[in-house]
Amino acid sequence: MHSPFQLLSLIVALPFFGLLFVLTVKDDPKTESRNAFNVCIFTILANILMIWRVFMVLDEQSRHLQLQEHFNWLSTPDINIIIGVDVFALLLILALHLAVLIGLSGVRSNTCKQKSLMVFTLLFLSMATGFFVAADIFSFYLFFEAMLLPVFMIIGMFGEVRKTGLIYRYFLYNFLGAIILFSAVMIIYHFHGALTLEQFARTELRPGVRYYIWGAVFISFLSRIPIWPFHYWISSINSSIRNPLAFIITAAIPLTGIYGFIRFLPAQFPLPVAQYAWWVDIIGAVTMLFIALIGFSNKDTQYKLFAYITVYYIMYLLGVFNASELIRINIGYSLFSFVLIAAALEVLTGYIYHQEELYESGTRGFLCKVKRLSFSYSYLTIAAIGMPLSAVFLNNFLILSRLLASNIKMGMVLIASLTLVGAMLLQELFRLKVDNPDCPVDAKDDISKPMFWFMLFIMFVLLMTFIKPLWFVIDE
Amino acid sequence: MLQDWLILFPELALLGFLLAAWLINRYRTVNTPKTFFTLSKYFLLAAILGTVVFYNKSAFPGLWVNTPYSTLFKIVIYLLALAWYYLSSKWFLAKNKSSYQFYNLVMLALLALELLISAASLLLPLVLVPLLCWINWRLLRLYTDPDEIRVMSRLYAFLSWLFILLLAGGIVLIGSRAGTFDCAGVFAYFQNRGALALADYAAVGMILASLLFMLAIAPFHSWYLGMLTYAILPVCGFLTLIPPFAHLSCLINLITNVFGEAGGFMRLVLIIFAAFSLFVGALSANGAANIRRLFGFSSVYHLGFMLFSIVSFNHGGMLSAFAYMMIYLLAMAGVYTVFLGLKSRGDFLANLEDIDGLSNAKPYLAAAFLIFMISLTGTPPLLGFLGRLSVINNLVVDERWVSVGVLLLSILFMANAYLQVIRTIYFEPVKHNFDRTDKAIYICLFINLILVMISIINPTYLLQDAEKILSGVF
Amino acid sequence: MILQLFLNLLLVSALALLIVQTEHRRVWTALLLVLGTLFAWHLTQIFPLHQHETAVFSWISYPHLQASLNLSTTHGLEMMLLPLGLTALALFYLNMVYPHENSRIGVNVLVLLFVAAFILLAGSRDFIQLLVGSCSYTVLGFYLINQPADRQKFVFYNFLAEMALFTALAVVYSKLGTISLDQLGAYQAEGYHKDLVALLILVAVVAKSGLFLFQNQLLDWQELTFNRVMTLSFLTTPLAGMLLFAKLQPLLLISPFAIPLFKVILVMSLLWGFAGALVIDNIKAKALYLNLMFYSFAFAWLEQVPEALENGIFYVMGAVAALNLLLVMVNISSSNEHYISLMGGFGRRIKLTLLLSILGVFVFTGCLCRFYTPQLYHIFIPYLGLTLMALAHIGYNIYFGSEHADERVSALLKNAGFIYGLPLFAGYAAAVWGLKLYACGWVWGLTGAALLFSLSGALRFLNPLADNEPLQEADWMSRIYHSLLLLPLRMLGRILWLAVDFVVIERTVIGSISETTALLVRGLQRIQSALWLNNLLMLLIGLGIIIFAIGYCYA
Repeated sequence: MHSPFQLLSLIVALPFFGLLFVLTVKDDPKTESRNAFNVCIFTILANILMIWRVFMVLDEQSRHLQLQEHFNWLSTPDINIIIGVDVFALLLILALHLAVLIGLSGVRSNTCKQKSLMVFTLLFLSMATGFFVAADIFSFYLFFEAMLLPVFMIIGMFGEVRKTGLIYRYFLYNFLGAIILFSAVMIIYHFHGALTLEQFARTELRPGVRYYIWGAVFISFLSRIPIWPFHYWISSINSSIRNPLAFIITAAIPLTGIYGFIRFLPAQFPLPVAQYAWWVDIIGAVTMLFIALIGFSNKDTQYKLFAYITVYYIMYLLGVFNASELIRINIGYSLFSFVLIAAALEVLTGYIYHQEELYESGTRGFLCKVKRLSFSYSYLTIAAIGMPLSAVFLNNFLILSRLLASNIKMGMVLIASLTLVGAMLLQELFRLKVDNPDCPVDAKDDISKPMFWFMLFIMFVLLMTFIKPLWFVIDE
Repeated sequence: MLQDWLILFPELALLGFLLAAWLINRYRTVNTPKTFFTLSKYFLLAAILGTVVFYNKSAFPGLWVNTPYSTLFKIVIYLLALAWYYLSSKWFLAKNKSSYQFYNLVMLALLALELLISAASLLLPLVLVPLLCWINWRLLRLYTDPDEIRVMSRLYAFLSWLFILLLAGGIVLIGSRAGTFDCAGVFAYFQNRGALALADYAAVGMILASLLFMLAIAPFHSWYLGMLTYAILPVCGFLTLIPPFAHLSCLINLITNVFGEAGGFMRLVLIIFAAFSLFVGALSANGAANIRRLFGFSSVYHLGFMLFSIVSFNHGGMLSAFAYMMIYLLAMAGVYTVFLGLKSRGDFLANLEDIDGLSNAKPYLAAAFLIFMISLTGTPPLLGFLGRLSVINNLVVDERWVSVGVLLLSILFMANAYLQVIRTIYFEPVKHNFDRTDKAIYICLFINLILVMISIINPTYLLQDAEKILSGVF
Repeated sequence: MILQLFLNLLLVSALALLIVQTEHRRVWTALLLVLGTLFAWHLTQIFPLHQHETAVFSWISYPHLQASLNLSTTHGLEMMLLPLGLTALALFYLNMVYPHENSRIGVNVLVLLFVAAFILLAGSRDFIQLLVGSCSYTVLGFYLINQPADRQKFVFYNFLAEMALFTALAVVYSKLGTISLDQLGAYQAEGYHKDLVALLILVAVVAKSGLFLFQNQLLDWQELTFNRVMTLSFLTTPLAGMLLFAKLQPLLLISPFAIPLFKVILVMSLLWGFAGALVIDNIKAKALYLNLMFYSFAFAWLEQVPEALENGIFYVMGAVAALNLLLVMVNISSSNEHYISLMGGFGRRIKLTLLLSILGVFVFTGCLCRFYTPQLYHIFIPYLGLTLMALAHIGYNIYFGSEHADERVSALLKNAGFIYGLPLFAGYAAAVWGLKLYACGWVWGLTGAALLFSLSGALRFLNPLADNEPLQEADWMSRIYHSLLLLPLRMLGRILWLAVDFVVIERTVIGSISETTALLVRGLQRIQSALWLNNLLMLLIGLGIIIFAIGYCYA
């Protein structure tokens, strides 16, 4: 299906135009940060409206990439940029936009270098959107690597990461993955031409290079996902970041790895490679348990959140490897809610720790006197552990049933990991809710009413996804 | 006869500048640093015009021949020169120093380079290379403290003489064996000769060594880094942007029209030197505390990168090398433009620690710097990616997998070096007060960025004509 | 009908939440109570008409999974809802009048929602509705328990139960390809990992219900107010556990060990409850132990007679709830005295409460006798016997025996008041008249025997155990869990972090790569620092390369 209005280019370009607007914002010390922030919010909201429009135009039942747009880019080598979208990709784009919006709500009072933060956030959003709509191997790779720079800048400038060496490593390992993917893309192009992603999934690769290509694809995408041994630097970074928006953006990177597998993997694993794919299952399952155990024993809340995100991402990854085509859309539905939950939890956690720094006290019993924050945090935690408050519940049921069917032992390890992270989040919740007479927090330290209403809106969205995942789509 | 003089218009224009500049310097009392730029601008434009008009005409075909190929390279270096001369005038204005010597020397260098590009006889390089070395030596000593650069100056002189002798030796040797110094004749000699003799290899080796020295390919790069450490900023920019392009053209000319593969010798040498450049450049850049040296190592690295493509000895390789060079030059021009904006208390900053927190004081300058550096790493969606894509594609087409692996690995090391700079300008708190930046710097940066944007969105315009011209080379 | 009830419950809850911040809350609450009573009366009129109606709504419609929301009216559901509804109404009333409750409307909203959750769970015909219903109990219980430590334990145990249930149903679905509960029987023939599935279901049921091994969550409710204790005991997770057991019993039958193991758990639960009811001093704890005994009995009954939920269990539950209410009245009468050992001799002062207690035992015994069948003697008789013994001992310590109450309690001791006594008496009278308990000789006999046993104080030798602090305060199961489960997990996590992540990856792998790179960089820096030497070295290298190339090509 071709779009007459190039909607997809628009949703990719809109954040970039917003970025340019932010750059032109007046450099008045009093209003600069507010103006930049407002422009950013407006841009994201406008893009969300566009995405909503695309949803209405899309055929939900079709599994092919729709609304395709072609751009002739290079003649030597002959490369065309093709973009297209399906429901799965669009859900992730929407989730990412909402997550960034949630993250922005956590940094609205930030006045230091707000303009730079908005610029890089919009740049990341533009690149990530392009990544999700990429329909051919070149554009896919292009955006896959392009999004690294804004992430690096955001972490470096705003992440408040104490060890700068961690930032370099983080960037270089992701960069290495991108470079390896680049080599694979070039080899594919040489032997098979500029394939679209759908064509690639159906193509029988040349015997001489297929091991390298699949190996490169695996390594490059796995390097984005915190699976052993790539988990170490990702965990080091994520658990060090204190800025909620930076955390959310960094936590969105593994999503790109999973999406990469969704697009690149064929419906059935090619035989020569299938025998190695189960290694990923084992390593994934072990990593899940490993991270869950560390998160359970670690006292740092940020690490717990990272552990939760990691375990779920690996679960989705294993779902991608073992699930049928039918289940993939369920992964999409679940991912949508999961991203929102993780983002909202991070913002609230960031708020709590900000207050902790103000009072220079611990966070034990923090939620006792702050009702709005307490309600929001409780709801999100309960939704995070898989209770029927979001689409995570039902869709995880389907994913897990598939995984249990393919390998019961791996499935049980998975369940154990999910139980551990759930217990870990609950542990944290109750630590914040315990009665603590020494806690200096007062009702006035609660989140503001606009923030609370926004969180209620997010909770409403989550609840509606539980009832019907695409509830916001109005059939034309 | 008249026609010949007309064909010589570009060369005469450049010579004319030398005369006019001397006269003005001698007799005009009120000269500003901009005077000589303005003068050079007109003569340069005239040279460009002449080059374009007489793109396939030659006055002395025995010595140098104008072809579409040579015209392409000449136009590029003229345009680069025009841009850099303009920006250099800002330096002289800021320092309130006379620019006469500088413009004199660089215009003379330009003349030598444009003749080198069109060289049809090996005797021409024999004359021009020493001239260029002398010019470099004079440029090194321009406005620098003689005590400080004594050692460097002598070292450069020594090295230059050594390589000039090597060049001379090589040319004489090959001339005697081929019976001619004419490039076509030498080419015919190598084509017809089955197995090469030791003397043939030696001659080719000596000539190649001197050319690699002029290109500042590792391990012959030290003089270049030394120049960057001591010379003034306009000289650094000139040496980084203009001569390498001309020498690249010379190298391509040597490969295609003089020696050919020379029994695989050229390929072997170039591969080893390219790999050496790659790693020396990338690793050394990581340890550099001086930003000019850092980007100097970066230049060495990029030249090595590009050499990997040339080693294919085919049309695709040349085109990708050309594309890479263009993109590299655009980015480096931007970088040096930024350098002109890095001023504190009248001094142009050169140390990395001096530009801590630049993004806080000069956000747009820092942003431009960032874009150019990211472009140099080859990260999409910036222009540098196009260069990387061209080179790697060429290697993949030739199925040179080891080269692909080496190049991709080296990118990581180079990226780390750039990350150090990015960290300095973005992640560190500001420590110095920076001087107000000239609007012209911002305008030039803006134009550069526009070119970058247009090129990435529609790269065909950048490469299409070049592709047609370069395809004629093979 | 059920649909209408369900929607009304949700609507009223929503309305109640809106008024919770307004003034005149008691008036609004009373109005809600009147509405609830009217509606309950309306249901009692409608249900006997057995008007079955189908209300199935298509909810999830994936190509590979279709789930629906079933709120149809069936005979079974009506039979369960009637006694449950009355119990809920009584609890609603109690929440309104109980003096130590600070959030009456909030608690009553939860009562309504629990009834709605019951409908959801009881009406479920597929896995999804079952899971949603089960999880609803956990979520609602989270808000009902207002003590952080107790809430934590409740949520952890129930979360464990949900995960076990979730996993078991996921395995079943993966094999059968359907989520219909009607198809569970097919799993016995076609299923795989039967032992695992049965074990998971068992864990889910036992953890949810608070039976032996997971009884801590139940017993910790003694920290809460008495009305919340009762609400939790008779409307929440133990009930959900029973419903789950009833619905998923076919999955327990697929494994040979599941039912025997379950029976062992039930026996242990009964004995543990009995021991606690005798020995533990706290009056709320005693109520909880008695409830634990009831649930062990109820499960045993349900295991033997699957229709017991519709035909009897909830009536007996009502009687047990009434017994709890009697303890509430004692607590109120004694100015919120929690410890039985500080009571004694109350019979002379609160005669009405004593009479109601005897009547309560009579009704309780009568209910059991009413539903007794000879095939179930091994379930009814032990339970009845042990419960009567426990009640007799409790009664002795409260009403008879030596007076141990302090002066303040003694001075203020009086009957709880008509707001408690009158409705309770009315309930008992209705039960006696409705079930014709007066006509059963066994009931009289057993009640008399219990009264005599109580008066005799045969178990008073256990009273000194009330002063045994370790026995009274010890939380053995928590300690076991902590030592055997939590501590090893934490240690393992710590070891993995230090040994694998830090030492292996950071120090070894990453450290060596970065050290090597740094070494190369330093080496090059050193080489390139000394001007002449550097240049000479580079020169020699370069020329060496060329000479090597010449030699190589020439050779």
